[in-house]
Amino acid sequence: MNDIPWQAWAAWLSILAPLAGSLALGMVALLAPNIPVERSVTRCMQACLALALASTVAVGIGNGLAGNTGDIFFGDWVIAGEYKIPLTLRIDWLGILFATMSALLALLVARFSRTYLHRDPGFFRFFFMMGVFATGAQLVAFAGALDLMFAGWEAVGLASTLFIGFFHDRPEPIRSSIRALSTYRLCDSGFLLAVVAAHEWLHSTTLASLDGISSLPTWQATVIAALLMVSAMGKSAQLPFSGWLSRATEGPTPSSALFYGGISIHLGLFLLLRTWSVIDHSPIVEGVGIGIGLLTALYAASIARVQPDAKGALAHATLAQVGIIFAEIAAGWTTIALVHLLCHASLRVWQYLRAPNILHDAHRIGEHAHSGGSWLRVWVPSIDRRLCAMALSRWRLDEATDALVAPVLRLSRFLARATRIKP
Amino acid sequence: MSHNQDDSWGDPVVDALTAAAAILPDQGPMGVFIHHNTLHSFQSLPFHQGVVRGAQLLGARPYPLMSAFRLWMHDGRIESADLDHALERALARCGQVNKDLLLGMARMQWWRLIWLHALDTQQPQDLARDLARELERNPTHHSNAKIDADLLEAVKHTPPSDIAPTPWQRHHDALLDHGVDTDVVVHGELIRLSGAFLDHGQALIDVPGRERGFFATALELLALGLPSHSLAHINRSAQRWINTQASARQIIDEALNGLGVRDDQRKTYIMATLLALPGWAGMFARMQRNPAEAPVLEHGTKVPIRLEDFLAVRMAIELHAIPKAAAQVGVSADWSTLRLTDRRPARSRQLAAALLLQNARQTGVELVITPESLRQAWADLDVFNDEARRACGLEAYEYHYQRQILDGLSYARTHRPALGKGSPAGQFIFCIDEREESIRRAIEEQGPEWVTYGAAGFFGLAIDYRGLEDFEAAPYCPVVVTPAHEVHEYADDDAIVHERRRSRMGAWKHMESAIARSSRGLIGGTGASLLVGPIASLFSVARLALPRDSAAALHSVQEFVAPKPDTALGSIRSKVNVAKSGKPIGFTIDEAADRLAGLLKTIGLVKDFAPVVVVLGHGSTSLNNPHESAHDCGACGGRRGGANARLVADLVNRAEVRHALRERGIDIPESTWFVGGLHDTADDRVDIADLDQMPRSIEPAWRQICVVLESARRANALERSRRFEALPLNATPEQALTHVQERATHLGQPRPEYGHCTNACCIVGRRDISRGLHLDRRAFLVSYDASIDKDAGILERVLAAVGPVGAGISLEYYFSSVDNQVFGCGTKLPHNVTGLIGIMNGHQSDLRTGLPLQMVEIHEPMRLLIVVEATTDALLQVAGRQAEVRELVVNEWVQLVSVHPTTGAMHVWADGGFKLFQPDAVELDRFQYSPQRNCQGREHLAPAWIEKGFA
Repeated sequence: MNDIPWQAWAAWLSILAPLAGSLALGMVALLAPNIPVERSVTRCMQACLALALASTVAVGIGNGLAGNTGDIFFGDWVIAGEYKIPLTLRIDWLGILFATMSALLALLVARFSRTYLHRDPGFFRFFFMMGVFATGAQLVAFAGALDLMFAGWEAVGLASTLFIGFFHDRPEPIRSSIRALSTYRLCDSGFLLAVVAAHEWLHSTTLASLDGISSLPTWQATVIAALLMVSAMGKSAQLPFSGWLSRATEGPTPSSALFYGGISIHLGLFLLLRTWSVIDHSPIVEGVGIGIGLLTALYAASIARVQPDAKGALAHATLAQVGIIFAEIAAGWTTIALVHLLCHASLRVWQYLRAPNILHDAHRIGEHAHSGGSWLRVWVPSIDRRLCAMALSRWRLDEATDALVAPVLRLSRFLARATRIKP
Repeated sequence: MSHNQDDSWGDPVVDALTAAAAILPDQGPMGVFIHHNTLHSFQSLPFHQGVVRGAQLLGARPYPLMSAFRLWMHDGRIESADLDHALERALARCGQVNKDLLLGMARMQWWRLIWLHALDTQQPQDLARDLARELERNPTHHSNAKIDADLLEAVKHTPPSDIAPTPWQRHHDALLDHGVDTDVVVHGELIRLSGAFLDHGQALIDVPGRERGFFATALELLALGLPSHSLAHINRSAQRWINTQASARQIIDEALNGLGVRDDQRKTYIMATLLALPGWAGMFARMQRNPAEAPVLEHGTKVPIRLEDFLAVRMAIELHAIPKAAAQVGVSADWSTLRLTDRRPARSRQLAAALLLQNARQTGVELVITPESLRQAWADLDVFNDEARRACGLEAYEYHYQRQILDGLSYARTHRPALGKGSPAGQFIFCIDEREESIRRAIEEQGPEWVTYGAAGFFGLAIDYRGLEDFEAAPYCPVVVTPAHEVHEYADDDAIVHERRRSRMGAWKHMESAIARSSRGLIGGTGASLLVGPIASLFSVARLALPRDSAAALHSVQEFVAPKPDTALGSIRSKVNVAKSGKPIGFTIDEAADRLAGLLKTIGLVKDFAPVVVVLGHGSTSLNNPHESAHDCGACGGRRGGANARLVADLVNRAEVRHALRERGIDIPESTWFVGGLHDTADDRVDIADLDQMPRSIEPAWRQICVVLESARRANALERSRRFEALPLNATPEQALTHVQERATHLGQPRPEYGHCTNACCIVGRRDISRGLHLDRRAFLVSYDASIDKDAGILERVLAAVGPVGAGISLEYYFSSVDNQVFGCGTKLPHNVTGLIGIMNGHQSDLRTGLPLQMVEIHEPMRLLIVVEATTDALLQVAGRQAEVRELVVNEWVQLVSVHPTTGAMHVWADGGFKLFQPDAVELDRFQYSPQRNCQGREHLAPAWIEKGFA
């Protein structure tokens, strides 16, 4: 192990520090008679997040001085016959930039939440999940193999659903949380199947072997690419999986900022950038991806126009840009997409964190003359009216999903009844 | 059911709309937040009846839970004597006699046992059953609460009456019991439509056709929208209604007929339907009453708002949602049929009763159990029911505080040293606000030559004020007053500087709003990301890491780019000068003198003027706080009161005005100068206006005032910080000042200040009667001198303003803290501002009214204790003339105490008359300075004596 560069160890540190913080807090909470006081919770978590940020920056500096570190293999995590989960990190600029941003935003949000969540009964829970989230995001950024990345991917998804359902004494957050959870579950099956397919056809899930996908027949490459894209669509709320996002702002303001303005919503895009060599190999997936991205952008922008609430408008405005970036990636403009992504996440986190300030701003800036309509209203009022009506009902996406799922639910209820043994 | 049925022969729909409009929350758009009695429409009933009725209709709790009262009893917040006092009143109210023997004890003792030990039936329903089951199954586990088999047997033979479930009010209730919640669909649809319709400019584009009202707009949106799975065919029905030009009323009737609601059930049904989403329905009702608050259309006209439209749209949606849901669970959608399928069992109280007897026995009481006495005891359980027990708890809780305050006042009366005859060096007129109590005390602690007064924060000058940067004038006075004058602020220096600033500020604001709006679009969003994104991340880091310093830096950048010019008020009207509104701009000398004489006489400042008189209004600045306006001055209509204070000084300092005042018997010497300013209650800043006008001769006196104010605002910050856990109790005043400044500029701070939280009493009288008392920022202090008020005319004016305003604040805090989920708006953390008019929880919810948890969490829910230094006769005179004051006092929505101006005898208003209160001769804790008292903890502090207030 002597030939492993220090950057790789720093990367591990940035991945594991937040988790270590959560575990330490968890142990204290389990063993001590009382939940730890706020001050020690925030100190512990902020220190861990700061450590994660510092070591990510260190990785970046190392990379800048010594050139790309590349893939580092640490041995196999799980070995079951031929099946292996390799512990491989990929340290390159894409991962470093994303990891730096997510560590920085996590630290900022933790700072914000220290006072914002003061005296909330869920204070401890909030910071505990922050650690789980940060570890997940760092792991996704640095993982060098699909299975390893999936572990981080799931951690982020879990944190996301738990933050949506943070106020679990009211039914609406629970409903929204379950919707997000089920969307994630459905779409993440794409990720899992992609892992299985990669094992089956490439005999390895490392990103390095994915880069050599050209050895596979086109249809196999297309299947893997499509599965990865489905997974990315779920996390990044692309059509037809967009419904959950409009209901996701049920949690405290800072978690909404971090997840749906900052990291989680962009994680699907990162997956596409990460596995770009696979996507690039399949023109069909690229074409479909462009279409989905643009459609999502139009869908979300139409809603953002009419949405009268601060967080709802922000969620859809965010989705519109995420759709555009999705299309940019699918079109192969990966560098532009990465810049767009990083700038966009910074902007939205700032806007989300200031969302409750909108009345103060409106008062300070003054009642601006009501923009009233748009060019569409002047030229084609009938289409404008229809568009308004469709957008206000959010294009009935949730209801359409419910209608699609209804027969499945009915069938499963029927099967459950049929297999139940009467006592 | 019969008690729920209509009691009038009028049209049920009209009746229901009128009745609901009266009950629905009456909170306007949130930009201006006015505190009011949440159950204002029940004020004509006695307090206890009113809150129980109101809470029942809104599905809320009228009082704190019994568990809270018992905890307070355990903590000593309610003492045994307090409970006895309240129990006696409860017995009298129920017409019961204490001497009766029940179960071998006096009735009052039995009631005391009930109060202490009966299970709370408003606790979650299964609690009593679970507890009892647990006890039966595992008696040894709870050995000291084990139910005696004999007791159980005795109770089984003479059980107390069962509790029937609340009858279903509408389809939703019945369907919910069958496992399907129709409101999820109905509310989702309704909130999206209402939110867009009532939007004050937050969405990028308006909903088209709002000038036709909600009903027409919503029908069109429904008709044009995509078909919905859960509201089958609603777009077809909407199109049909549009084609037949159906009116809102026709749709309501069609829906009621379609859902099988019979005429005699309609009123109840509609009321329950409107109260299901009270925030939104309330906003429609409110804007219908106050059309000025409705959104503006392009041409400056207002959107027409009618509650009936809202009901019609709701019923149209229900008409489609209910049959579908009913079919899903296989029940009839016909209300007349459905409501008869109620099979919910009544709740037995047997086990709870047995537990009560058991607990009673545990306390060492010898129970004499006979069937007859048990029957009587159970009958008492119904008379002294949950509501009565809580009412009793509240009175005990209030009585404890009342005793503390009245004992404290009586201590002050006997222990007050004579204030030196020396003339005052400075006089300060503050708002009556209880938050100013501490800064006034801090000023007075610097020596007997510093004197403070309290007057309602608009200082008798009701104006429509337009500041330099305001677009239009807004009322700066209590909401019940309509100003007759406008006052404008003008830039003082040359027009070029002002114009340059205007255009620069305008460009800056335009850019800000352009970025915010365009970032929502496709192309604008991309542009904003790439251009503003990197800057935004810098801002995030700076504003979160160093909130106070970065805010100061931003401010100085702004001052550099666009420096604020010196300004002056157009306070005096020399010639005809009329605003667009038709009101005169500025006062004439006589108008000004009349109002100022009124102010000075009210507070009793008519002679012995100090060289400097400081008039301070108050306001509050904070970030990320939709409830910011709730911290501003209620007497200035929920705005910052600096303008009125500045205007007072501006007017009084004019020689003509002083001359006119002299004619009115108030002689202000040439050597006295008034200054006006603003005290910011969030960051404890004091801004003084028009200092450049001050004559040279005043400056030595003014420098002393500055020293006093600087030290007082630090002491005030320190005293406030006592409540904030983030600052240690032994912090220095300087640290405290930094801390509160950081709070006011911190984006992640949901508690920039605690606002009116902990308000509890109101002392009307000369400051002398309360000076020296540490009242823990809980007392409104109103200056009033009975000795110069011959016919109670001044008292009438004072109480007419202070009574309703104080009661409004105190009752809003009462309700929001008693049931924060229904009367208040829950925790701030997931709040989402919608349409610039209000807040929702998360992505879509009812419009949440009332106060958030963070604003009431340390409040003690009590009715305002108003102590007036005036004779009972004077008070009765005022009550005879002022209907609203009379209503508040007689119906006991406030507690009123008269303190005789000369003898000091105290009379408390209770049960329809003044009753003598005999204060205990207590020894108050004595301290040199307030900080010694403050550092004793973060809890509420009983009155203490501060010696420096006089020395």
